[in-house]
Amino acid sequence: MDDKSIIKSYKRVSGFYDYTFGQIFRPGQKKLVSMMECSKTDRVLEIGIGTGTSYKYYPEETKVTGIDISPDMLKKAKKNIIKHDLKNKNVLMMNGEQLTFEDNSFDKVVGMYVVSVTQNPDLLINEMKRVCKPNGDIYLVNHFSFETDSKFLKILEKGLMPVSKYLGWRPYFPFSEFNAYAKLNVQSISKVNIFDYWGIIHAINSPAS
Amino acid sequence: MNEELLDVLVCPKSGGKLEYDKIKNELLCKESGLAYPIKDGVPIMLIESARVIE
Repeated sequence: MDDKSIIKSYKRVSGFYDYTFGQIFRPGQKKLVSMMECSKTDRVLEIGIGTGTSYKYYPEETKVTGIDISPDMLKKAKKNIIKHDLKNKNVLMMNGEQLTFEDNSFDKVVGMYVVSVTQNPDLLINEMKRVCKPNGDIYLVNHFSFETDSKFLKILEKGLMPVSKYLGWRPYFPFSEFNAYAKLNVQSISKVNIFDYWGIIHAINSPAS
Repeated sequence: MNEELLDVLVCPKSGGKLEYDKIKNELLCKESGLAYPIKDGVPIMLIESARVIE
C-alpha cells in the first residue's frame, strides 16, 4: 500500500475510528505506555499517533512528539491536545520512513501499529534507530506472526484478512522475517489486545548480541 | 511553535536546521530554500507540501 492509499483509507475511517478500531487498539496502547515507565525528563517519539488516543496514558510532564501521515487523523489529534491542554504533547505530519529529526533525539521511540502498514519496514526501523539515543528504548506494537502461535491465532489471522486489507495491513508478517533485517536487540515480547493478536516488542537501541 | 521541538527538527531535504517564521506560520530552511507550512497547528514536514522561498 502506498502513502496515498494509506491517507485515503484513514480519511475514510477517521470520523468513527476512535469508537471502532481505536477501541481494539486501546488496551495495547495502555499496556505499552505503562511498560515504558516514562520519567518527567523523557523525550518520546510516537510514530503512528493517529488521533492521539495514547496521549492520556503518558505522564503530563513527559514530552511526546507524535507523527502520522494522515492529515485527517492529525487534525483530530491537535484538537484533542488543545481541548485537554496537553502542554508537553505535539503532533507533526511526517513520513515514518523519512524522519525529519536529528540523530539521537529521543529517549524512547514507539512504532504504534505502523510496521505492517508502511511500504518499507526496513527504512522505517532504520529511521527509528537513528533518531533514538544509543541504548534508548524502541517499542513496536504490531501484529507479527510467530511460529509458536496457537492454531486459533493462525485461523484468526486468516479470518481478519478482509479487515486488515481494509485498513491496509500486511495480514501475515512473520517476526523472524522482519528481524532478519531489523536486527533488533529484543528484550521482551508481550501479547496484547483481543485474542492476543498483537504484540509489544521491546528492544534496546544497541547492536543485537 | 515549541522551542525544544524546533531544536531537534531538521529539513527533510537538506537535513539543515529550521527557523520558525511567526508571521507566515512556516518553518524555513535556508539551506534548501524550502518553507514547510503549519496547517491547523500541525507542521507538515513533507517536501512535496513545502513552498519554494523566492
